[in-house]
Amino acid sequence: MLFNTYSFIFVYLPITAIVYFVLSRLRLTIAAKCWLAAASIFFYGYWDYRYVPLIIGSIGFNYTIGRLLGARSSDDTVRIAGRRRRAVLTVGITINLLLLAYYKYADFFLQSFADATGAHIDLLHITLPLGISFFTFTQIAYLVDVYKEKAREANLIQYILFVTFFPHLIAGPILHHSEMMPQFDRLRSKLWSWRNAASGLYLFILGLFKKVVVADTLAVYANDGFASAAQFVESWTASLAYTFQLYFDFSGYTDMAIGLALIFNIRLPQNFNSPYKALNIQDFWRRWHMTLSRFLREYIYIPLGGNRKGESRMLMNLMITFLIGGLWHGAGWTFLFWGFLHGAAQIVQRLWSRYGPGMPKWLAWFITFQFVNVAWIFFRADTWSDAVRIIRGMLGLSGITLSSASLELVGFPIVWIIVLLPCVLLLRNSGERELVFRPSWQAAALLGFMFIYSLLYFNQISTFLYFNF
Amino acid sequence: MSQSSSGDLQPVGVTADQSSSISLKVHRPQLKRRRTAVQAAKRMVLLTAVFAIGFAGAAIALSWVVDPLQHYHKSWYKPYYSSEERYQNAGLARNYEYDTIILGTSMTENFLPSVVGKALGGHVMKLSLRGSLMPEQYETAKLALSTGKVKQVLWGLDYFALRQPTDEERDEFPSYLYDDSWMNDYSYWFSITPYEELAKGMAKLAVRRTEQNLERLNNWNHTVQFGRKLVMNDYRNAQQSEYYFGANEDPLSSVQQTFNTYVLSLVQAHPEVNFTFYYPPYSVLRQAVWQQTNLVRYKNQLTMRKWMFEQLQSFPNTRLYDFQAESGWTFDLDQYKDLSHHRESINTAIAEAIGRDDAAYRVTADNVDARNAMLEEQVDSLVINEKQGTVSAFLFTIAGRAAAFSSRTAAGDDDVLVPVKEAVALMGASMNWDAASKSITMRRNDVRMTMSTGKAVAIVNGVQMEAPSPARLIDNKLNIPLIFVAECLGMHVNKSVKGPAVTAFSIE
Repeated sequence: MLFNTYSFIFVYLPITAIVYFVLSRLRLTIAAKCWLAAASIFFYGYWDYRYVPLIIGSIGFNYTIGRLLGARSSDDTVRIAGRRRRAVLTVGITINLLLLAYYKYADFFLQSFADATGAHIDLLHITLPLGISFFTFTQIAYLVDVYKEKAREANLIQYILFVTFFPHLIAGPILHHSEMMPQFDRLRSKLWSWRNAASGLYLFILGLFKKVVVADTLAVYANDGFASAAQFVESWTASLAYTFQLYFDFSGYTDMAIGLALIFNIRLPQNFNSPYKALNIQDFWRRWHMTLSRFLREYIYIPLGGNRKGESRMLMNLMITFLIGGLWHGAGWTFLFWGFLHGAAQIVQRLWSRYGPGMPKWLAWFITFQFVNVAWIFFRADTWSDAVRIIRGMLGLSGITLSSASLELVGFPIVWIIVLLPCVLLLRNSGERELVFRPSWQAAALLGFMFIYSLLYFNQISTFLYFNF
Repeated sequence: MSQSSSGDLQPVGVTADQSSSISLKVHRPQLKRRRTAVQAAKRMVLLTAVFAIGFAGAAIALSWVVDPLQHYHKSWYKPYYSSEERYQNAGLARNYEYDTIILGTSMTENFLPSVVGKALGGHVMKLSLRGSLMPEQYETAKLALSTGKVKQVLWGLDYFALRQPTDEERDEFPSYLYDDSWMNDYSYWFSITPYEELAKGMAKLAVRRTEQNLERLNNWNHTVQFGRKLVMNDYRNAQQSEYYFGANEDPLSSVQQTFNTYVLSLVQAHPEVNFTFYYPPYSVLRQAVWQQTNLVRYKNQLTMRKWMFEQLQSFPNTRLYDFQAESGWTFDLDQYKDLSHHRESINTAIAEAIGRDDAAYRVTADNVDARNAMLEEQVDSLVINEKQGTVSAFLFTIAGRAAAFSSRTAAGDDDVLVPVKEAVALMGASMNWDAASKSITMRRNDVRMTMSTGKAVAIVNGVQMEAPSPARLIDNKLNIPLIFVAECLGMHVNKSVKGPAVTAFSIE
């Protein structure tokens, strides 16, 4: 199920919330949690019920490993320690990665192997289960946290809820056990809160608007452009349209997720902090998909040795981290190359900041933004040659002059880009807004309008970009 | 990588706990402030709902007043017709004046309503749906018929419109515009697309200063290129691409069921309306591709051509015309833009032929089999000249028997290369292949002729003669120019023109 559908907003959400809070009110705490977990699994299976056993299997497996790692003796020391403990963790992580590898990367590896050797291989044509990257990463993080004795979960229902809680299930944010589960146990969070509801509604509608009005409109132009643009203005329009589409799509969806969780009195971590305001590439990754950055830092970069093993090793660790980050986003060479570009940019930035001269702020912003924009081309392009075509176009190698027919096509997206650029650079983002948000009738009127206006965009063709990752 | 960014990761409960009822050390002013904050939040949530309902009402009112698709009423401003026919046709059917409608796929989009009106005698509304399947045409027809305005229907029957729709195709059709319930119209009220279309359309009209009118709405005659080159390209591509469809061809029973449900039921329910059906003239290459890549479909559509007539025949309010064997059009590839789609002039000719009830096209119980036979004969004797982009049919009778060859290849304009083994057997000749000189020697009675794969000449009883083509190896079979060889071997060739691009040869 997607957030931006009638069935979610008008049927699923009200029923789920009302039953949850009624059960909580009746002090049927366990029933309330069971209800929320069951509703979340329904949410997951609504799209394709065939993958419900998969997510349940994954949860069962990780819960078992978590129990093994978390088991305590009577003197409160861990039961399984030392080398055996490490082995259990390794098995747990490996099986998670194998599952991900099978569903997400098997065809990519087979295809690459076939291309390299010229062998003829029948691909498996596996449909990617919804949100598999998200729930796998969440659970890997959980296993590591239990291993390090930073988390523990004995209750199966609690654990199911932690993984499947529908706001974050299919597109993140990627959570730590410790930042969500304690909230479920707090007494107050079981009671309906008008303040959280107001803030949650505010974020949800803001996110909905960003996703369906802004991103979905831009998507049409970006899709057109990436399918056919070759000329200078067309190529720039296509790449910028996609750069803004991706941001508004993903951050809008995250805003909706955070807002929904808040209605259930759960505060999820912020995932975006105006990334296009970044002045360097490191800064960009502190602002873009922050929970993924956090995951990659804590569970890949630092275990690789981080910056503790000398500079050259640190730069290599950076590159490895970003290559993995690239592949996480999609099984394809263009994604890997996108990761490579970002890894390389990080290395260049580290070296520049040490040896190179300083530069004015506007130049730093400009270089960062342009780099990110160009890198997104590889992220978006279906094939290598599509990406090259757009880049050639942007360099003016495929003609500068614009025909009046194509002017009609790029006119609207150019207006959009001109309006949105100052928005992402100058306005406060939704997280900052939520912090200073004060209820008022003006806000209510604006939200009412934005909600209905967003509804007008439901009857267009729209798919959410990020759930295939 | 970034350092921690957990500035706002604090759980909501943390601040709340300080003043919650569990805590005993409560400061009175703080509690009061908290209460007002809760009340403000509550008021805002409820107000948002109220405003949302208000704006929803405004959106509904707006869609009734502006009504870009003219779903509720004819527009009070100069309208812009959306080219999304599935959305626009409902409004046209409901709120415009007409007594004759045109139904069908893109094959019918190039009819000019005025021309059809003159030929059939009526006031015409074109309600074609490009790329449509029968259920969609049925919805359109049903809506138009329910208005009581319709006296006649001109309906182009495409075999491929009778297949089962996929789930996606089923969802694509805005059926809420076609029923009488206004409850499900929310998909129209709450959609930005009609407004966007309207705005874009008006901007376009203002910039280009072109007028939009129902006469040419969705007519693509002037917006596409026609010509044999394009058709040949499409022919080559289709040979590759259409192989894939063969496996899941709909069974005849399903196709017939579709026809009964979506066509015949309307004919039956509206005896007061005259239904004129016709089989649209695709280029003969369309039939050839079906025959080559998907024999089941080719056979099924031939079966259906007769079967549909048999169903319709018992209803006095129906007439059926067949243009698929009109070789004057179907063999003239310059009339087409691809394998199937023809020029407006052919639509006009169709309308006029129907208007005068032309016996050459009217399907009757007496000629329905002959029509199928004629079409099959054309396809079976088709000769394709890919280089020149021309097609023609050569029908051969050898020694009094109709001759079919496993392959036919153009040899100039007037001759056909056919497999030599098959040819000599039919002519009662003998042959001898000499691999060293790559030449073939044929004998019949006292004539001995030799041709090679090199030059376009033949040695007939020692005399050299110019041939239209050398002998050629095609798909590992040796081919010879049939008419030329037959004449050289002393046979008598009688040529008679059976129709445009269709020639019969009798070889004795």
